Amino acid sequence: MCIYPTLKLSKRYRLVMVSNCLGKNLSAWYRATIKTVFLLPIFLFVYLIHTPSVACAQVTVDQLRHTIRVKLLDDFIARFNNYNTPQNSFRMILDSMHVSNEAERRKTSIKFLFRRDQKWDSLVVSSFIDSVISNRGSGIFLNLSDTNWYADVNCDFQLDGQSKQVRLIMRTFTDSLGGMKWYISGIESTIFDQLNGKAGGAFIAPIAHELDFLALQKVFDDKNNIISYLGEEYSADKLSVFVFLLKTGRLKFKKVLDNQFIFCQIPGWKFAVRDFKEDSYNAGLLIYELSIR
Amino acid sequence: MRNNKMAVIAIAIIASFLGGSLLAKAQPCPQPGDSLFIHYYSDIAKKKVQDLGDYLSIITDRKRPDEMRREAVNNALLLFLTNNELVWVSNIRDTTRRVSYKAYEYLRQMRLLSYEKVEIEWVSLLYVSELHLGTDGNYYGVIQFSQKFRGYSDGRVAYEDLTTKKNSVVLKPNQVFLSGKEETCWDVYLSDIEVIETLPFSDGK
Repeated sequence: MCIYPTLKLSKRYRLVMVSNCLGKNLSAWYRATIKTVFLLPIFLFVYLIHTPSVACAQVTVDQLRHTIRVKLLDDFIARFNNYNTPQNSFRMILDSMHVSNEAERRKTSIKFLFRRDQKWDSLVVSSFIDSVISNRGSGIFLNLSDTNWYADVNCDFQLDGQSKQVRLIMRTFTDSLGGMKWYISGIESTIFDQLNGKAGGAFIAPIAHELDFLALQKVFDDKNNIISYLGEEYSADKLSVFVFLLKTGRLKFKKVLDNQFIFCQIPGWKFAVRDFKEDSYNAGLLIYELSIR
Repeated sequence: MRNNKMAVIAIAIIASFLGGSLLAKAQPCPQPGDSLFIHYYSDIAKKKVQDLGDYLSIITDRKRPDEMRREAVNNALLLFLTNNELVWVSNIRDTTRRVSYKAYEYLRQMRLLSYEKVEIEWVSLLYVSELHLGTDGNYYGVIQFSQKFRGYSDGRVAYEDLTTKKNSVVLKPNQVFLSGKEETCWDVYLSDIEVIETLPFSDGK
């Protein structure tokens, strides 16, 4: 890991430091994955020398690290879409690379959104980027208001005093005025495992009504086979159970453990993004999974 | 004679400032869709985050009168959307442990800190997000920044860290009259504050 304090440095010394740092951090990535990213140290050097705000005395490797880090999802989307807005903190670096072609700028920008310690197939990555850029002429853009993406939020809850992990599937809703909100659209947890199961041979006898349904005593003692006594239309609604457990106080929220974002906007592709919280040139919100749908 | 001349110049300068500010007040508030909207309100939000740091310095300074510190707590609470906004805190001794307090609890805890003096210094502004319209008609954004915290005991530094935080901000519409016309302006409030990382800080030594 390379961490340098903010120091007053000469241009030559900055070059040595950045080269050393990148040599340690990125060499594995160069070998394994996206070929064009081998230009990274050159880009960064050009950026250091030519960007006035960075070339000033106090701004060095520390600030460069902050600039490259994908700080918020707003930043990720602005970079992915190659937006020319202040929210795209990568555009300064692209400017210093003098890439004027918008498609090339976007390609480079997306390449830098991949987590380098994953084993990427460079052909798959290139194919994905081509799908993003070439589709529908101007390409495909991500937007918070899209309906085909979601957040997968892993939370710690307590059920009857016992710690349980619950994954909440969260989606965005946009109203007719453009106002947006998040909502819980699904839920996954081992606490719902018992809601499903195969119906066994147990049943309520056809003459139960004649005995004022006294057989129900046996039915509710037979908890393991309870699904056998339900109709074929039975389907567990986890969210309803979740609401019931919360309202009755049996289930209590403790904290969010981690979360990831799953994007399905690119036809044929699905990718996952999560926040890598570390001091490096490849940190923040990055793509760590890419699959063909 | 010279004094009179100086006085005239001073009055002219003050008048030009006053005139400028009056003119500025007469300007309509930037509206969503205006190119200035994000810049204008982001600047106000950044100022509010800095104001919170300034109030915290007063709240934690045990040399100041109690009344002044209580007043600072009340003023700091006015920066928040509600008293129940969540403020996460961390400690360099155990960076994995993060605890959340409601805004009023947080400020009360800060007033009870055992340091004789606390310095909270704005180190850098890292990122300002877009402003997103919510279904309630408010706008929402995030400011990411780093702050240096230094607590003194017996005249010496007892604790210091460098914390990077995300502060959500809320813009609420407010109908005001400008030059006799009713306009929608936006009041800026701080909301939840999350800690991203806490690092040791040593002045680059």
